[in-house]
Amino acid sequence: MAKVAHSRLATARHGAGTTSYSVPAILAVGQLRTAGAQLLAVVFLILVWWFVSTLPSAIHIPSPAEAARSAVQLEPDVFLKDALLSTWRVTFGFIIAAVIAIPLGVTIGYSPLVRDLIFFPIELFRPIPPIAWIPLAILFFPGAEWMIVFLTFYGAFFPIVYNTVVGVSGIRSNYIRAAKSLGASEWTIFWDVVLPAALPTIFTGLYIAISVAWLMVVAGEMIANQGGIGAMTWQAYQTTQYPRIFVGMAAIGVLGYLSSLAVRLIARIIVRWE
Amino acid sequence: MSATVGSALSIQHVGKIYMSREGWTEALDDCSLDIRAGEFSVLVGPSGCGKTTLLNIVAGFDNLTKGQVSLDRQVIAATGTALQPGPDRLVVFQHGGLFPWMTVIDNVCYGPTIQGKMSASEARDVALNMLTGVGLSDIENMFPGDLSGGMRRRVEIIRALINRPKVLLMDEPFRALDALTKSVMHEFLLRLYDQEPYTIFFITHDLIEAIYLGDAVSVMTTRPGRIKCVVDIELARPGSHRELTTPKFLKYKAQITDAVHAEAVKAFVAGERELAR
Repeated sequence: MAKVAHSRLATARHGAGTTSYSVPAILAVGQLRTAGAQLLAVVFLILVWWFVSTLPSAIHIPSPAEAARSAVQLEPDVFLKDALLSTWRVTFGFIIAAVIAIPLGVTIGYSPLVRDLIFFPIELFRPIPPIAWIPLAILFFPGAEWMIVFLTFYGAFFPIVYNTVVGVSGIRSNYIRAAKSLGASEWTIFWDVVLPAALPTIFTGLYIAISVAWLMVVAGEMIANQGGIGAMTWQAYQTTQYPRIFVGMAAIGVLGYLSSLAVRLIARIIVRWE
Repeated sequence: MSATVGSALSIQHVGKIYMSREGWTEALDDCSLDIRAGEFSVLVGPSGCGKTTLLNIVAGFDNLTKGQVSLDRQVIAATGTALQPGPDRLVVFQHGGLFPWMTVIDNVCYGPTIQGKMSASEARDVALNMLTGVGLSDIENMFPGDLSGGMRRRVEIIRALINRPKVLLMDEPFRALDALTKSVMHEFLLRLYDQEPYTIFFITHDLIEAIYLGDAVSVMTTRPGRIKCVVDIELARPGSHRELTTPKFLKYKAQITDAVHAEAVKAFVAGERELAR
């Protein structure tokens, strides 16, 4: 494919005497086009926002320009502190969730006995939306900090468990049979076959979990009002600094996107074969 | 002729009954087959007749309910014994069994290193040698997902052969390949076999493939599977694809087609009856 494109371009080059292209250059053009389309989408989104802000509403909705002005007026170190605090809470809850949920999911997926013992209670908890845990979490945890971390942990926990179970129990029997024939013991099979075979699915779980963790951190912070982007957004509402709500929301969006990106990058490094 | 690496495989009166949602199914009944050391033995039969069940029993993936299987007169499967798959009976799977998360070289070296037969560097040398020997150089650091279907099959065969198995079990290994790749794979396999006559137990339902590859072609009956007849193939080897049109080849083809067709019809009628119930 690349070869054909190459030679055709080469003819074009000799024929018309234009600038020379190479395969990397074509790729770069492709990337540029993608970036351009993405930029266009963002511009379109801002235009929609602006349009909505001109509509009559109960309370005036701030326009993009007003939000931008309010963003500039923010004290950078206060904002940064809030952003870091939220990121820290998400990371902390997410990591605890991963550390508990992955081994749990692997054992549930691998052992029918453990599945029968543990999976059913987990199934019972799953339909309860994580936000419904807020009152109980406030009662249980002495400080807001632990309450918020618990909520992010809880939100991240289920997607990771479920995907790990699916990844481990869905493993093709050929792989286990091949490993057994080749002389691997039960324990080696677990490390060399079961775990790597499940990794792509586990990462799907992590990818979903990180967004749920952001969802939960914002909810927790809005209730607790102890710093973080969620609290900042809620305070903006309470103190009628409406443009700032948009700043908070945009910040949550960007941070959420960046952390998903981080998970995807780690996945690409670890799951090299996909 | 080089020394034989394979062993004689003897399948004696094997029966297999398993329970499924529909009830008891008799997959194999009094199934006997003897494969000489170094023989390329091909098994054909209508689909669902129990070919793969038999191969799984020989491989040690599945137990049997009657009879026994022995390799070099040593019993490897009998009623009441634990399943014991091992590197002396390696399988090339129908849907591929290479580990997608390991590079080609790690896949090939996995057996000898995990068994402690070779050190990592030793295994690497042997593996590279074997891969190069079959025209697969410079792919050792690629993942199976980056290879073509034919290449994956070849690597999987090498991954098995590096362990010098007593019998190589091949479960319709070329089924998913296009006709051209398939014929290249046949030549590849026969060349390997010509260098060192492994004992090969090969399952297929492609009769031309069976006659082209096999020293003997066994025909299995419809379920419960039994060996209906064994046809010794006396064609020069390594054969060329030209031979597929010689009268001798066509005679074998007619003979085996008749045997398989009769079973396929029985299987079809039985299926109709089952549906009607």
